[in-house]
Amino acid sequence: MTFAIRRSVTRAVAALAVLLVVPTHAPAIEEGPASEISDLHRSIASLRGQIELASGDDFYLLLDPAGATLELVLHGVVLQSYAVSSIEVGRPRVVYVEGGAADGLRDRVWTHGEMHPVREHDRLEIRVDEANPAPEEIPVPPTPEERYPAPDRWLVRYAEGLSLEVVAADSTDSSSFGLWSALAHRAADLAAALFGDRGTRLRVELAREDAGTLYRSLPPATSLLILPGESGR
Amino acid sequence: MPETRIPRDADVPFPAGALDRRPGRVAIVAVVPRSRVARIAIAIVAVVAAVVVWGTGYVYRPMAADDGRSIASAAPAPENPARLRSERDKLAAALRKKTPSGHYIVVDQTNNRLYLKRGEETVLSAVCSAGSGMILHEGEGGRSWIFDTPRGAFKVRNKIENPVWRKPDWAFVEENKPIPADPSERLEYGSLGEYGLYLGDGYLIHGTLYERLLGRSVTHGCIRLGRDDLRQVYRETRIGTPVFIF
Repeated sequence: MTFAIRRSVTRAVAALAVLLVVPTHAPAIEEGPASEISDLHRSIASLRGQIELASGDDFYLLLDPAGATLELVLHGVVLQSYAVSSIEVGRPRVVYVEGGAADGLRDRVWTHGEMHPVREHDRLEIRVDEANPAPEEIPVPPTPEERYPAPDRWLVRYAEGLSLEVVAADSTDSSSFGLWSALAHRAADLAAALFGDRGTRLRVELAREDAGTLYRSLPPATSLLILPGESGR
Repeated sequence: MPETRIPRDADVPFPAGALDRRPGRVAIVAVVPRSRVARIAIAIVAVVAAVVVWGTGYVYRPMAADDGRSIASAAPAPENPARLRSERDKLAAALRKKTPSGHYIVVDQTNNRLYLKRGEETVLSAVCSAGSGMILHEGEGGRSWIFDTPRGAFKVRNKIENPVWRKPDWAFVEENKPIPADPSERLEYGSLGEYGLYLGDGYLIHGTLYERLLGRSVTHGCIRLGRDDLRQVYRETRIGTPVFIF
């Protein structure tokens, strides 16, 4: 009897030891800090977004706050890269009450971006017939800078409500022109906050030449993806 | 003291500081109500308007690391980081595969610039000429052509030495000349330069006789390059080289 009890106790202790030991020898599930896992999730979501965009036939912009660049991309190939000197988030405010929402700026692809003011395509039309013979010499067209003068501040408005606001550096100078320009922008912001779409804005400052080049060459209906990472500037 | 009469149209000099009464100036008269209540009401309205204007508009602040993150992505459920890292690396590799391994050409058709690239390195930056955007009409009710350079992704489909231009109909319409029935009358030698890179649908990267117009949008949709740049592009590309035009 005593032997049976002793054997039962021995078996129970052995079983308990097995239960305690086995999990420590099972493949360990490494659990990293929550911030690392969170960063990995963000990287994966961003890469999926980039692959989705790269698989399409449309042009898109990638804003990289960490690298301080704004890139024009097609099929995953960077066509142009612009250095960004600052990135700011703008929210509409009506009588000191802020609206708009910054949540989800980086978690999605912003689509169908349209420029504002619209870049009008200035086309020369020629009709040739008996009454209108061919011109001796077609006039030399203006340079791109003359043809499409770039404003010092312009927007790309996305269908989902976000606007990318591109500002040329030194556009807020203290000269009289800069003062009038700043007043005009203030009035435009006021009208937008009161009567406009009241969407969140993402303001990026580029060198004046880059802002003009991008204004002249940005294809229609581009998408935008904001990469993870903190703005270093 | 006798009164001095001055003719109405005489040019009378005003003393310094006097009111300038030259014709064409408009006097601005401020209307101030006499009622005290009305004055106070106007002052209140002005103050309220100033407060509304000052407190309305857009407020900007630098983008922070957690700006734009949704609540769901900011607080994920505990997971295995090794698995996540592996997934991230696979996705990054899949994205890298999409970029060309060798040379590729990028054309900024609005700013008339052509770049020959390899990876992230820019091998050549050249001034080019792209489509003028002109619209040509063939008389009343006739055909129309728009001379745009197309945007998108292309490939070099053929490399041609001493290309011969087979003039399309619009070339004759533009010069108000009859369209020839004999195909041999459409051929023009020498006008496309030493080399041509055919992109399909009638579009080429080729040379030009008018290098002074490089940098301006003057073509019928093709991309013109200067002689030396064209030689380098021709030398360093092959059939299949990707061409991106934006």
